[in-house]
Amino acid sequence: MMRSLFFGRLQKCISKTVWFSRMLCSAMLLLVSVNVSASSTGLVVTGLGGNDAYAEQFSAQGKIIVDALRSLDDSQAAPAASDSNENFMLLQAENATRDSIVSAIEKLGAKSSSAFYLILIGHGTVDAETWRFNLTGDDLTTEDLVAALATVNAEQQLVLVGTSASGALLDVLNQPGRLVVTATKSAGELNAVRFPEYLAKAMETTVADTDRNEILTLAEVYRYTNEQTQKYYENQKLLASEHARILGDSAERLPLARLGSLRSAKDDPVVAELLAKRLVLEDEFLAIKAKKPDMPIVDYYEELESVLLSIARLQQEIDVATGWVGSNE
Amino acid sequence: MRQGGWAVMSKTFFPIWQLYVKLRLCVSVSLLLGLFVSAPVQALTVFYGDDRHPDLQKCDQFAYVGQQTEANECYQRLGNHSEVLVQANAAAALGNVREANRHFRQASSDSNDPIIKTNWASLYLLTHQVSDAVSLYREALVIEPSFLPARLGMIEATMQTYEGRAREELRAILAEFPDNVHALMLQARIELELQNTDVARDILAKAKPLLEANGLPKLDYYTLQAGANLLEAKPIDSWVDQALADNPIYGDIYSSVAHYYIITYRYREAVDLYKKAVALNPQLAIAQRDLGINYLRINNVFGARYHIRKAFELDPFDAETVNTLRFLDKLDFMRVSVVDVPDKDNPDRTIGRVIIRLDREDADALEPYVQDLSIKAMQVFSERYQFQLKRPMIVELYHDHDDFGVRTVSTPGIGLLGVTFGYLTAMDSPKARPAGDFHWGSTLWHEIAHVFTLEATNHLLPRWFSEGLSVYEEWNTGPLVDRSIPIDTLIAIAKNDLLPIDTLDAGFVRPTYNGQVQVSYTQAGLICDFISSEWGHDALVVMLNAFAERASTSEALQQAIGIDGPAFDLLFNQHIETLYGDFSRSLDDFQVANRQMSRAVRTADWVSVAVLARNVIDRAPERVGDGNAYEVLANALREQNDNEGAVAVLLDWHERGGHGVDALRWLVRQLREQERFDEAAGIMDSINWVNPYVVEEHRWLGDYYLSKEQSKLAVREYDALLGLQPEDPAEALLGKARASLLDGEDELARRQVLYALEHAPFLRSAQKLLLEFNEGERVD
Repeated sequence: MMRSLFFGRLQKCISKTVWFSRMLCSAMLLLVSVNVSASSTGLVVTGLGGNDAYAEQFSAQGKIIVDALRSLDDSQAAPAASDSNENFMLLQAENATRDSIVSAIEKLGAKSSSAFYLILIGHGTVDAETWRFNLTGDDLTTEDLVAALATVNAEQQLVLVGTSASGALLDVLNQPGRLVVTATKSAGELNAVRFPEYLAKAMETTVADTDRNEILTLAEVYRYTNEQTQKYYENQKLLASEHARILGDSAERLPLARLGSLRSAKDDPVVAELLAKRLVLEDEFLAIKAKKPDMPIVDYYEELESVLLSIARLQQEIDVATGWVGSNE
Repeated sequence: MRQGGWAVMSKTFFPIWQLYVKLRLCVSVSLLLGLFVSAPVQALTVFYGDDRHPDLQKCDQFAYVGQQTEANECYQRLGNHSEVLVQANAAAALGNVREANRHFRQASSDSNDPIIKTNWASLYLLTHQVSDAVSLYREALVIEPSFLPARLGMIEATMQTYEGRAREELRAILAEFPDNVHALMLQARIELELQNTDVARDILAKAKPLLEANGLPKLDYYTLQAGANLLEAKPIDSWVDQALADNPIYGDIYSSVAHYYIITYRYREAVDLYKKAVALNPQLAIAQRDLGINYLRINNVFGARYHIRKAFELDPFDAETVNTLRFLDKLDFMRVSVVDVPDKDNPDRTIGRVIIRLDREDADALEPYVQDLSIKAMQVFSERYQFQLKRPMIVELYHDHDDFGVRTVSTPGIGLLGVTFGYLTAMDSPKARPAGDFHWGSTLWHEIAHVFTLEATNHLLPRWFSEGLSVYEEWNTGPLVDRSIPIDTLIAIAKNDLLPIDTLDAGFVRPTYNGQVQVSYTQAGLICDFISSEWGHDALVVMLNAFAERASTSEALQQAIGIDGPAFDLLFNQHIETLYGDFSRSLDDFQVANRQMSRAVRTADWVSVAVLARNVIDRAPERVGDGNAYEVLANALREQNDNEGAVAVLLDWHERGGHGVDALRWLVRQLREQERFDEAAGIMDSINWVNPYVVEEHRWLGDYYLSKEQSKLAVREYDALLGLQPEDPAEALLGKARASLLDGEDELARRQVLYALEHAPFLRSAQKLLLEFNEGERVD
């Protein structure tokens, strides 16, 4: 009961389409446990660079992102990090065409996964008719995306468009159960974006994992990426020409990557069992935190300490099982 | 002795007249609608001109002697006067501004007589709308270019904006009309403003028989005489008695005279006079306002609020009143912290208290630094000036520059960085300006030095000495060692434009060329530095004490170093010649060398850039501020892949006071890569005095100090970091826990570990610490 009340409040907070009240929401975002044991599929696409520097950047970013997503893959069909992984595909360079993308979305979308991820990195443009993702051959348009995504079955979906002018897609891609992230707030932000650079950094390292549970959520990644992007412009003393946006509910519940020892031990049944126990404790921890405003402060920290001790002890077991070492932190 | 000016200590060298132009514009814009609604109660106006209608003059006579009821009845009877202009002036005298304005407009549409425009302009002056008044005076002068009342009115208007041309225009008028009593009274006011009391008294002596011969009241005469007495530290009672004998409710005799305390920084004494003014006549809106504003300057917020509200009730359209009232509301939301400052040598003994008031938005980030610097400053200055503050020192930093403006001069849009009103010092926080725009630590040090020098002398030291000591302390004891001499000062040296020490205050309060205020700051600093180097710092303390005893500059010099002003000037000029003579005369060559360097930068010819930059540095190694050659040289070396060389150049530059944030950040990265952590920490620490809002710097420094077991510094950094509200506060909280452990405060450490885990429940190092606490094991 407590948790559902809490989530109701949290979802209300986040579903305000954009995070204008970032601080308020972010304080609450930490109070959510994430189950990574569900099945998922995804497609990462990098578009045309236009020059060598962009082409190299997009290619590297795409690889990092898909590798991170593959850490979620529990299937034994192919090695998780392999390019032949059928649940998480990467399309780049000449392989990334309009038809191949549409086809891949339809193929992955048809699978019975609980979560589906689509991440586009590259240059976007707009004209009077549509937004376009710059590709070899025909560009991918808004209409292509809408039609292809309509075939996706997964309950949870993420469409993350890290391109210029991507804000044009915000409303049109908005659907129940789908989170939409764009690197710009509107079609009018046309300069090449830096958002994917920090997105890749967030997914490659532990910097964005603020609760240190070794599970990166979209909320954590978005918060970090957005903050670093804005800092870039501040540090360069430039007017920011991109303002990322997020639309949809429960970004804090959508995992984007397993990290560290959890990643390497994800197929271990012992670890899975311990993680299930941890999930229970996390819920308990969150329930206490949710009661904080209504509790005497001394009682609150007493209760919190008790559950934190349990978590710490359990975490020691998990760390032994996963081979976690101090340097991971 | 003192040649003060405005009652602030500016750090930005902003020309004072520009400040007042800004003030004027702001006031007139914000009061545009006031004229049509308000009926303010103003100071008594004496009408000197012979252009006033006899029927009005009869009523004026009642007002002059304080028979206000009779005066009002008289003015009311003129409401049906046959002349619209008389109706307008009568309504104005009654405070019926809207009605007066309507009559003036009607009179103006019916006639082209310049007196209508002139009287109408006076109504605008009365309601603080100076620019509109000026427009009407101009219209009158278009109709009749030599129309004396309009010319005098224009001078009154420009005097309100403190523009220097009023004095010159008045001289021209008096050359033409030497017995014009209105012009004489205005001239006496200007001379008193400049603290030329002898000149003012001569003028007043000439005006007195003219006032008597024309049957005019001597109320302004008494006020100005009292002002002269006050400036000469003589009692004002006799003038007050005479004024009150003529008009028992003439509160202006106190409030107008208080102005001369304000321009000599003596706010507490000014408050006493304003209190007498409002006690005598509580309807004096401006006196109520000024009492409130000056209460605020001495940190009596309660008193300030009471009298500003009174002023608002009397005149709700006075911009300064409204601004201050709004500011008071904001003041309530600022965070106040109190620090008792221990004696440096005997920590159990307290030498003073600092009250720090900060905007809540950046209080957490700034407070540790402000506390740190305030404590150090109080310890240093107490010792160096052998003076202990007798009251708490109040330090305020504003993250909104306009709040700072209202706090200091009741008006937003000012061009200052810091202001000291005795025990209270206020300044922009680093957030009030673009990141890295100014060295806020140095500014705060400068202002706190003022607190000591002002209070040690009961505000009796001349402006040049107060500014000089603050600049000298910035150079010698402050957090920034940069002492590069501004180009304007070098030009002044080359042109022999430095002022004699006896008249150096004039450079601050009535500059005669662009940039002279800045030149005077530097000259004053150089003088203090010279005295200290030749006769020791104690000589400066002797001078300070001499000023406290009302000595002149020459007298203070005699006491301290045995020579008078002119003799000192000879020595000082020789000293300056030795230090800067050659360089100041070769400035053209220096600037040519700079231009050559810039051209080479534009063509990316880095080998040439390096050679030319070294040449510029050799010519003036102390020039480390904006546009310095060190950063250019370092960049040229980096372009040639000589990072080692660039590091060496930037270390030298930093040692000399270079504080450009971007270059220092690069330097820190290099030093960290080379594992020169101690040097990196020193530089990173110095960056925070320019831009304290970078999470990474505080985090790294906190960890560094922790590794060195310097728990207090570590906590300062973690607190500053947490003040920036980082997305990930857990590490900082854990750092604080470890610092608490170092200090043996285990229980506090345990709580801080819980705070850390509350944010990041899986932070292993915090978990480990929590487990160790519960297992009763002390953590190493």
